[in-house]
Amino acid sequence: MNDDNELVQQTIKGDDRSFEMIVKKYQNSIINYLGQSLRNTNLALELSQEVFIKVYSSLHTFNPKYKFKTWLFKIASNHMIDHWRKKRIKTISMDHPFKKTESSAPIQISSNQIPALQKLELKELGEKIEKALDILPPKLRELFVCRHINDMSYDEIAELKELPVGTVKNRVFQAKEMLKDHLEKSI
Amino acid sequence: MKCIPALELYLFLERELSDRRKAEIKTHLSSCPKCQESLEKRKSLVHAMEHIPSLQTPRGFSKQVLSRINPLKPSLSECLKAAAAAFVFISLLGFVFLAFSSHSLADLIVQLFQSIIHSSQEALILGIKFIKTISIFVNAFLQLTRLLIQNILAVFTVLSTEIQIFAVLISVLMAIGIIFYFKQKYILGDKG
Repeated sequence: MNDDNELVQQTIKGDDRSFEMIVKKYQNSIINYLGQSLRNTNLALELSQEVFIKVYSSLHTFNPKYKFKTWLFKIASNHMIDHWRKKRIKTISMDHPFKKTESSAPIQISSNQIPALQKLELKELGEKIEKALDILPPKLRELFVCRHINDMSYDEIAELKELPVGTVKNRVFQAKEMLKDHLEKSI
Repeated sequence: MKCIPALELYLFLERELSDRRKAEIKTHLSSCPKCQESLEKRKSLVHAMEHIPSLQTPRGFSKQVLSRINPLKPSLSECLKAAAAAFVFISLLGFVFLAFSSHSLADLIVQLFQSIIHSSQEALILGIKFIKTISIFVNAFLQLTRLLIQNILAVFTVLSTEIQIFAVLISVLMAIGIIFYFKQKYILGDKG
């Protein structure tokens, strides 16, 4: 039995300190996942609390055969989808191939644009990427955040979102290309 | 060898490819300036993605979560649902027995209404304070339940043995059904 499962069992037995350890272990990941996906820190903090409350009340339904982290993120993902539905945030359809807009179409970068990109310190560029996340459609942004902010593997994301791994790779790729094009234009 | 698709260049930079594919790409890159340029364009982005600033968790976040959590016990709404289900169960049980009873339905309904009116009067008189009102409703409910059980027992004694056995069987089946429902819903949880 891994650490997470042990903490879950202890929590079910009534040990709230074990649940506090679970919260402390995953709070950063969940807040970043929701915060960067929703692009709203205060909302993310509120939803994160709700996610952990939901997790607590559903712990008895957790099947130890599965990975706790994936189960936790599944609850967070569903909670975010519920929020989107309530707020009726417009999201692009994932049933159709991503339509390449003028800005996302492959562009030929002139040779002087590349050095400009390279000159930026990685940290500064990281900050620019963080700000540029606004341009991504919510569903692409969520997958990008899972992969590059929460450091989840493509397999983990595929399991979480119940999508084929190839689809996840393709959508994360689309997100990166959109970010690349946006950053190149803004430099 | 054909040029490397951009998606695969990202996977190459993220070390997500098999050793064999990596070797193939390296070989291709050494002889293809176009792919080299394409790789360079994406290299900074991939490296910078490791430096995306993360949101800071506020101090005391976990304490806030814990303060909002109730112990693993049924909520008020669950208690109310259980009470409602119990009431329905007892009522159904009463009707089952009534079906085999020599008592008329009208008498029982009148008795029930009298009891309800009496209980309501008591509740109105004594219900100034909220907690007291609640306790009176609970008492009224218990009285009704007792009345029903008394009637059921009265009816039960005049029934033939076969009907008694049949009635007991029906009751047991209903009880099993209700227990199964609550087990599914509240103990095993809603998997949906």
